[in-house]
Amino acid sequence: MMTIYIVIYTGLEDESPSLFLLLQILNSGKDGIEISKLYKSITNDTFIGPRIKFLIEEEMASVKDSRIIILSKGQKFLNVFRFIQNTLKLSKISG
Amino acid sequence: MNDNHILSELIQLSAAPICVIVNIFIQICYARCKDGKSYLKSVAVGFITGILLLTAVELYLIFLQDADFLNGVFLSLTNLIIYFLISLGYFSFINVAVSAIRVRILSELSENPVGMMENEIYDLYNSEEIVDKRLGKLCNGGQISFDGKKYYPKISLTLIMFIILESIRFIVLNKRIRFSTSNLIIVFKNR
Repeated sequence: MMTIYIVIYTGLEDESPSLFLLLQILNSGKDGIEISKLYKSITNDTFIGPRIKFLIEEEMASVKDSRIIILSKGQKFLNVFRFIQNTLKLSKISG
Repeated sequence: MNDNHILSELIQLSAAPICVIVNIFIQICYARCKDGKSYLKSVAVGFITGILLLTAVELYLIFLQDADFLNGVFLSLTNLIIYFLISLGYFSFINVAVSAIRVRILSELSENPVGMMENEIYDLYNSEEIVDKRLGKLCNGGQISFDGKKYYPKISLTLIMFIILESIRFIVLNKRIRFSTSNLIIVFKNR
């Protein structure tokens, strides 16, 4: 139960792009929403920026001469998911 | 306590974890056979196989063993809940490998040992790509509707999940609920 709670709690803290899109579509009501407005609602600052910041804060990546590099903790984290991708023969391009 | 009773208890105790292992095994085999192209289908096939097996075991224990009926029913329900929760945990975990933006960013960084500028990451993984991928999945899964020009909300499993998640977020993190209830009522009325 605790593991499930941790998994769900992570989902609460993070903004999911799919659910954010669903929120925009839901709030458009019966008028609907055009794709151009959805493009505007999702910006790099909303989804990519905070994730880069998270990786740096968690010491999975760091900034060196204004370039972001992967650290060994990040590589280990990535290897776990690469193992799953290889086992299930999934695409290497996630997200 | 006779041997038969001990065996029943052992089966009851191990049924849910064993069925989860069956679920994972079938899911991996299915995904590998289809070269990873039917990921969601593989998850469904594994889950259904496991739950059918668990139901069969529980029915056997309730009806064919000399156990208290009500006790058996509640033990079976507990096992089904355990199976569902462990499967959910497994699904959430492997789903990170499929859809997590963080894993994608780390993957890009790993391919570039000299590192990347922040805007280079933005260029590789732009917002339009995020929108296109997600809208495609939501439309194909029948979670939203599209008339060629605009996207409309409809009652779906994802919408219900979203409402539950927003409610939990409100209770646990004290974040305000962001969806309009009047629009939600309209969606339910027009189903």
